[in-house]
Amino acid sequence: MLIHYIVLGVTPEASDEVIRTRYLEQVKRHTPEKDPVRFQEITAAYEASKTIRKRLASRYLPPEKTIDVEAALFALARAVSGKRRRVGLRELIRESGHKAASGTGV
Amino acid sequence: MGKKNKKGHKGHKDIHQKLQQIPAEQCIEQGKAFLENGKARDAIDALKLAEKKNGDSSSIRQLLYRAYLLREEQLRSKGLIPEADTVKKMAIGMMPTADQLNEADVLGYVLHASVEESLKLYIDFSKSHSPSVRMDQHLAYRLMMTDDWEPLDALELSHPLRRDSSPAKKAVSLMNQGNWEDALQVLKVIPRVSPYAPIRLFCRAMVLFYQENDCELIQILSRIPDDFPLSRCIESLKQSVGGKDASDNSSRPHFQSCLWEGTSNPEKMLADILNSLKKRQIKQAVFHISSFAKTLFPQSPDFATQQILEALMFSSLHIDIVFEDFLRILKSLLSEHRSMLVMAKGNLESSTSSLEAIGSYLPLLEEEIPDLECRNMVSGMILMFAAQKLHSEKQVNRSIKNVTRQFSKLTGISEGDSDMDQVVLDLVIQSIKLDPLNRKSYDLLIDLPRNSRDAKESIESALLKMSAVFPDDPFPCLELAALYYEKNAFRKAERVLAEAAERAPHDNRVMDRRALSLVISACKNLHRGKHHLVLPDLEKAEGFNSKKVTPLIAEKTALLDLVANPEQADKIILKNFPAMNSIDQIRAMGLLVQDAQAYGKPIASKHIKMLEKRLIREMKQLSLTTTDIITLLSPFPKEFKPVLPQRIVAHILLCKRSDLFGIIPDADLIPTFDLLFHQDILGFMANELQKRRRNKNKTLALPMLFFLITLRYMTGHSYCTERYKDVIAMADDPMKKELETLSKKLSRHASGYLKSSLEHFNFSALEDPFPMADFSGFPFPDFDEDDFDEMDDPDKADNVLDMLNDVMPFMDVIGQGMDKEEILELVKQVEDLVDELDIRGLPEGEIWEIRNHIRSIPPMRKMLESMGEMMKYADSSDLSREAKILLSLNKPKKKKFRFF
Repeated sequence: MLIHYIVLGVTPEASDEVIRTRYLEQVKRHTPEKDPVRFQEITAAYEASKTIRKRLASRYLPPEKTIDVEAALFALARAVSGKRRRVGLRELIRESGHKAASGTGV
Repeated sequence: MGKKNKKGHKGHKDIHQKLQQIPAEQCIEQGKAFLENGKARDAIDALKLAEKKNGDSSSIRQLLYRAYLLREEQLRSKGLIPEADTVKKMAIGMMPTADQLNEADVLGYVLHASVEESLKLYIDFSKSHSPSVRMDQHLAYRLMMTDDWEPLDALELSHPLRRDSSPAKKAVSLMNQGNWEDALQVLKVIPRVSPYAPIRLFCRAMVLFYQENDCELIQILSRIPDDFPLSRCIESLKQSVGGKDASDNSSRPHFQSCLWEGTSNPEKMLADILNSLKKRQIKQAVFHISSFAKTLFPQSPDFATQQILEALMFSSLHIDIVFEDFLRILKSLLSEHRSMLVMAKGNLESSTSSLEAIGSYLPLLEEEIPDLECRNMVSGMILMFAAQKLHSEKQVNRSIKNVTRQFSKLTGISEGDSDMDQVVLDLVIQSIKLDPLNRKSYDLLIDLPRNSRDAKESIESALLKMSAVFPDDPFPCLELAALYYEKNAFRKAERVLAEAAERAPHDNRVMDRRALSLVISACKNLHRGKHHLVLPDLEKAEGFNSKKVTPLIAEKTALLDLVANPEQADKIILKNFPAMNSIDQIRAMGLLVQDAQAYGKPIASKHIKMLEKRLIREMKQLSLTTTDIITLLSPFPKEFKPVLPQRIVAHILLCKRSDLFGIIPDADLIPTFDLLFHQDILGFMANELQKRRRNKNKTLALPMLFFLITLRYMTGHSYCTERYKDVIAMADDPMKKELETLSKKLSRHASGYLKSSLEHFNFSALEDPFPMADFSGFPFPDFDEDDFDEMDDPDKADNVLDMLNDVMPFMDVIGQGMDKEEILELVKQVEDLVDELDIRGLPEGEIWEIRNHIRSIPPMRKMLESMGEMMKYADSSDLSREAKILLSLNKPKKKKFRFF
């Protein structure tokens, strides 16, 4: 369940509407032609959490299949690693080890 | 490290000494060589010596200038900025005049000089050299890096650097703010040939990075020139979003915190969790789980913690976590209520008593889910889950009465209920009450056995509720119709089918059922002797053009013809079946033979033989593939149950052509048997397996042998569990995996201990499945010690058995002298025993198995024999299939089942 929320970028309390909106935003960004793997992940996350019934079932019922915990948790770790941080040019230049924008040479 | 420096210093000293001994020309050559190899310090040494020996020359100064620039670059890359600046000063001191410089010299200078200095040199250089696109680009990079645009005024207005500077300057400002999207819009006006074009490409790459359009991002990154100043950032982007595994952190060492959220490394944290769990380091595990949860889901770390713990709990079998450790971690990380919730959820999955598990889970929901509607939904789901588990696993619960008494209010089970089927039904009904919109509950409901009147009524009321809740869905109407047919309430069934037709007039399921209802009506009239009413019904049924029911209609029409004119049996088939394909024809013929055998007069055995001959002839003419065999031998759909209680035609077809299975290739045999698995044809399957497994290599023979052993166990022909162990011992690792998969598949067809053993691929439980010799300990499903209270009193039990033994010799007389009421009472008693043993609906082989074990206890054997003797005088059609098997004094005839 957690992985679906991470992939869609919603909280566990999110409503059906919020989840749908986030899903549409994500699939617009990751179309099946451009990014098929990501598209599949988003669609799977949406299908598993689109209704309150599904969300409650996965939260309160045991999983349908036996889960491979290491694979499941690594998938979670990968999902969170995928979050990109907004950064400016100056910060990138600093991170690259170049001299800051002093405008002067020697 | 110190040693290394010392070594380097010594090596440098050696080179210096050697250089001093060689002439100036050689020093220059050596300097050039060092320069080419990137050895700036040695190059400087060599060239300085050459200068000393040879005197000042422009060529040496030029080389020295390059060596200083190289050294400056090296020092900067090491972060030794003051040292680099000093070296740069020395380089400037050595700088030749612009006309003596080449492009690389200028680029080396521009790299770290101020824009003003760079432009000054560039202008001087341009006077004596042709324009250089590369140099323009480097100056554009410098402008971007320094954000210092004023010196550009020194250039002519038409110069590309000055001409495109306005949008570039605005874009750089936006990029500095992280607004890459707007910056890209601004840069759109810049032509491809502009020196600022690589900056636009980089900006576009960043936009794609935030759009998470990694495929296009990789393409754009590959188009950015290698000498772009942010090349390390580009490389990092390429590695982290490209083909490399995202979990490989070495791919983005410098930009981890810059481009990706979360300063920590979740993969490493996870590895730490698993490691500390394996080492049983509880405190560390608690710390790592907590940090991991915060990193994963900062919006709700508690939720993430619970989810991680649940994942660990549900897979604790696969990773080495000691349960006590898990409990300690659970209590450390979650509140008491949450811990109980996690444990209750785990219990629901793993507990052997689902009723007790839901008894501990449901009360927790009140605090957990304040919204009543949601709470009811979850409660309904939990009850459904438990019902499904009880139904599929046929859980053994020795004290079911106590449990049902304890949880009756909570679960909706009738208090003191002792029948597990009834308990499951009650759970599903309660689940529907709480959550009437859960379709899965209705699916399970119609699958449950409904032998008693109470069960039928409960199911009927639930389906009526569903009909009201889903007013456009024909499904509840169709299922109600099936139920009404079972209850012989034909009018009600037709009425409800008419409603289904109103709801979905073009639905194939509705058409099939309506056609079937007419066939049912035709069958009823045929057996009542009202032959004139049969054909109109069958013609109407044909009008629905239902593909599914067509063979049945054709067969019933043929049966009607046969009853009217049995002498024409051979021609009847030709007359009625040509419209169908050959497979459907054979299936219909098989049905016709079965119906004809059961019909009685006027159909005589000679007529049946004619039909059988025809059937054999037609079957011999067929050339079949594996798929055809599957179609041919598959049972009829369950909707046909009112007209075909057994729903199977495979047995008669295999009797008439026993080589049917022989057509199937070795590789397809087991999957085909798995698909066709039916109690009535297990003997044929066993024969085929027995034949084939010989002279086969291990890969083919072992799965066949495993299948065969399971069949023998199911049919009660061998309980030798050693055979399983022998087969597994013969298998290598890949074969063991294959056998395990097969075992899990076969478990779907088994029940009780065999099912559980096949599911877990562990057959030790079968070694002593009936460990207790006394009757009260009989481990039949749902067998309750309380059920045999009477037997607990040894005197009473002895009395009953003695009485039965005493009447045995006079049984014939008693049986003949029994009136109808006494016979009915006897039938009821036998059926009650069937219910007590909970064998109703079990596969035939399993009932035989249970019967054999009961008979192994001498007093029970006598009792059964007594009842069997008495039942000889009752009409056997009054008895259920299970009762007949239970009372049979002999094993099934070889002919019928064709066992080994």
